[in-house]
Amino acid sequence: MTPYQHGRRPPLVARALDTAMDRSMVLGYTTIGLRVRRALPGWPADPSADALEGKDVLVTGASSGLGVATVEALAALGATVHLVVRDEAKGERVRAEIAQRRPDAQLRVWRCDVGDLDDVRRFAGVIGDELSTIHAVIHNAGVMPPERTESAQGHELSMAVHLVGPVVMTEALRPQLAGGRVVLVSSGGLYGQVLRADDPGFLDGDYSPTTAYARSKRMQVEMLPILADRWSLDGIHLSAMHPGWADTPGVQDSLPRFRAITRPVLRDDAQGADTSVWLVAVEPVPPAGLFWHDRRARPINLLPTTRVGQDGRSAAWAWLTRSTDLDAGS
Amino acid sequence: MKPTVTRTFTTTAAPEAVFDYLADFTNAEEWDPGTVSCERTYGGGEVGTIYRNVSSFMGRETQIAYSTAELERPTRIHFTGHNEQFDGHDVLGIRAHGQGSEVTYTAEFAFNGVARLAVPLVKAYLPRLANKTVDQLKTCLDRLPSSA
Repeated sequence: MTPYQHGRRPPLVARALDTAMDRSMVLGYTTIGLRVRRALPGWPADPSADALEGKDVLVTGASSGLGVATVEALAALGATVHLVVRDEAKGERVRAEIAQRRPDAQLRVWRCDVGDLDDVRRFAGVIGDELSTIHAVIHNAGVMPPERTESAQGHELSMAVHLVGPVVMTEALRPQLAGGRVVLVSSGGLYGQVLRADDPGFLDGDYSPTTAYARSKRMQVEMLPILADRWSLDGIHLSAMHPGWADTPGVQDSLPRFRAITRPVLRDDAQGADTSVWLVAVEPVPPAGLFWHDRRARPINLLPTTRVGQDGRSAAWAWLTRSTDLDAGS
Repeated sequence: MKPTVTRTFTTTAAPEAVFDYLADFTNAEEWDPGTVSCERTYGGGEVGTIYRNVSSFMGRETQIAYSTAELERPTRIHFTGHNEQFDGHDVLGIRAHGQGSEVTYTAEFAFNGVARLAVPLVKAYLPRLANKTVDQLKTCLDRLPSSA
């Protein structure tokens, strides 16, 4: 399938260079990739400076790494940004820091543990009562547990935080999100993993934090078109994106060797957040159900070995439907 | 990897209308150029319903038992087809798009026994078959009502 190009098609040479950088990963995913792409003709235009004026946007995992940069960029476009965090004190510190840099920023802090479905439902109920309209949710919260960990509902924790929680939150906020946008922050790490519909809980074999993380990201993009179809009925545009290789606390804690090698070219947080912010702010709204990186739709497979059949996708969808009680809601 | 083909197109028909039309696989007689006849042999259209489909595929007529594997009104339909030589999936994703719909049609094929020899040929033939199918499918869907 040819990835969708948003807006004007750039010249052939620029497209070829962009794609070549993407496939090499090292060039495309680092700060080099974004800098070169921005300079190429056909780079999709920025959102207008007041694109999010008067609009409410939720960011999960808002108190560290990409989350902070995402909040700040959204606030700069005029949004009222709701920092959804697990640790309220930390969230409050981040809010105060951003407010110092941007005194006009409209920021609020909410507590929610995205890995616990009971808490997700509680949070959605509270914020849904207060806000009748939500322009967008950026599901940015991420974890890479060093040991296999289960959520309160018994899901493997990275799968719970990256997919199950975001689906339940979005589903609960469908009325408020009507006509709005939802972004799943994914990871380029998914390119190395095949969908494991047979083992979404990582019960077989030796647990590896990076594998569990990448598998949950693979599951996100495999479920993306099905979820996008579902939520299109409310005019909600669902996208997924990957930030490239950014120097986030997640990378610092979990991938120290990777960081030691790549640090000089890792992206800063604002560079990593660029495409999420662009997806929720740019007009016209980019088409739903696609996987984005650096403002362009990208394939979800680079290797033939990660392509999955319809049986696998159906089994994964059945698992997700059960795990999130989607049946009961429809 | 099994031979697979995916096509996305838009229609003026509303998601519910698209869904109701496609969920009844007997309508394949109308929208699928490969289907010669299709009748329901078990069930009332719900998951588990079985259809007897006679298809002409590359000049040969074969009978395939199709069954409804998934139905999620109005966004997802999944049929599986089976006979001694063939296992297949037809999956339709339906998305609201303006007053109409955007439909993604995926067909996946697997062949057993001697029929496996036909795989390269099928792979070569699939894009043409898919284009023909999508043209006819879109024509049938565009006749259905759009959203109010």
